[in-house]
Amino acid sequence: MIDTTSTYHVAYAVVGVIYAAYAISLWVRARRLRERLAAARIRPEPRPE
Amino acid sequence: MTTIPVSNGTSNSGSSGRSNGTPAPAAPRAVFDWFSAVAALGVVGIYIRAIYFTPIERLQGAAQKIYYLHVPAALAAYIAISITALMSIVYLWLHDERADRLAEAGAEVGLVFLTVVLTSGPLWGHRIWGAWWAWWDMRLTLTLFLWFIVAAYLIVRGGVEEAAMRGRYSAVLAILAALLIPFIHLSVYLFQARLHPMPVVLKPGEPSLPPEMLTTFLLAFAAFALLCIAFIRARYRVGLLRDLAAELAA
Amino acid sequence: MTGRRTPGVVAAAWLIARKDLAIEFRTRTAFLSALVFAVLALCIFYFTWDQSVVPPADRAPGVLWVVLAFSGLLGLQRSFGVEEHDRGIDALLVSPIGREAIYVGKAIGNLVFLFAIQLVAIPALAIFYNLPFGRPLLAVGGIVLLATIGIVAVGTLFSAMAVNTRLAELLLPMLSLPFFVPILMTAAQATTLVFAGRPPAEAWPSLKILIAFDIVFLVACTLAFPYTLEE
Repeated sequence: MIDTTSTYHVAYAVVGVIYAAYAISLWVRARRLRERLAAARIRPEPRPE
Repeated sequence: MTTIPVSNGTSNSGSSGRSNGTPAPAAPRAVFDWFSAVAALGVVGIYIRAIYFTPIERLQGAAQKIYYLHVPAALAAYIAISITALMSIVYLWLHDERADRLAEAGAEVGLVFLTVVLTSGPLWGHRIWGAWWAWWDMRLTLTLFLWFIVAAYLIVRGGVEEAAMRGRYSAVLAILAALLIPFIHLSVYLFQARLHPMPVVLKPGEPSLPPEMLTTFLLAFAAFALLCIAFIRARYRVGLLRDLAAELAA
Repeated sequence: MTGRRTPGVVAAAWLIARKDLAIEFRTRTAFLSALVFAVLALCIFYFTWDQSVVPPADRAPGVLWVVLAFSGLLGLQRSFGVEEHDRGIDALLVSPIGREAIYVGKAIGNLVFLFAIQLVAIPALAIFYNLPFGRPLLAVGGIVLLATIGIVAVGTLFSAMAVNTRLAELLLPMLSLPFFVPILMTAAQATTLVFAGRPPAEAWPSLKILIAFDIVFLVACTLAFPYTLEE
């Protein structure tokens, strides 16, 4: 039996990082958008026309 | 189909993109909810089970455990991409912006799972086949082209400002891509059939999978399918937030 | 156009194709640059392989298809780019012409444009790579014909889409190349078989895929085209 433990460790780490990074990116994007949304609501713009 | 279908509602406006008559939806409270928590716990559980409580395969050694991440990720990618294709048809039909957002979410999440397939696959192949990449492996090659198509789809979405036009463009692209996949499949098959016999390693259906391994597999399928749905829900909410912010800014 | 009868789809498509080709014939800039690009690329690719390892005749099919794909993209790029200038597309949209006819007309114009490039590029390949003129080259012409229809079918649609995005010229290759994959794979394979002097029956499976691709995407892109225009 060949020892392939290192390959499997690397693969599990890489895949975990990809999923975690995506989840974080979603969270960051949502937070930034929410801030923008809140800023736009607090400071109502002068009525157009 | 000679004219552009106008959504069958009361007042139609091509520019706003909002489906007619529906009030502006409220901003979602959080992108991740209890469902995401369940999915995250499931994935953590699968990691623990696969690493500590699943026996090591005799021939391939520990590298075989990559299957538990690789194959379910492929399944999740197919789920996500099918949602995109389906929602694209719905969008062209009903002009409902919710379908467009769901299609967008499916594509982005699909790209994440395809990336996982494309990184775990070569890592495994490097040790077991002795080669990072094997062009004669149909599934890996197809996955690569699928990755390029989904990436192009997302780039198109990023390149169109106006919501209604973005929806139409991306829906057309998704539907054409769905027609393209069988052709890529056929041509890759024709290409490899001339050069190589089918790979023996990945012959589907191993009837005598030990029960512990089978259980891990099935649990992994469930966990990553849940993760896929949780990601799509979260990405849909990000899209909703973006649309609301754009509407307020306008 | 007042006082005239609205042209039918075929007549309208022909009008548009003639207009595009007339513009191209008078200026000739796009055609000449695409042509020079194609022949130049053929020559440069000659030096990218070791001649003692791979004989020129063996790599000719691969070179041919890479060059045809990219010079084709140059031609397709111009197709709707020319309408963007002075908003010519708006004039087309208000004219009493079906939107499918615009697509078909543009596609015919592109087809003629690409054929004209190939008419020079393929003999140039035969000369530079010392291939036999005659029957095999004629068979390659047939394969090129089938492949070009597919390339133009998707390329025309994506050209229309690309001009309306922020990315413009960058987008066309990114969108088109994945769709060219089955065309290039099967066409290059059929070309290899022809140059190797194998019986035509061996190339038939590849040609069947090409023909199916042409039919499916001509229909699908004609139906999809109206959605890519502004409402």
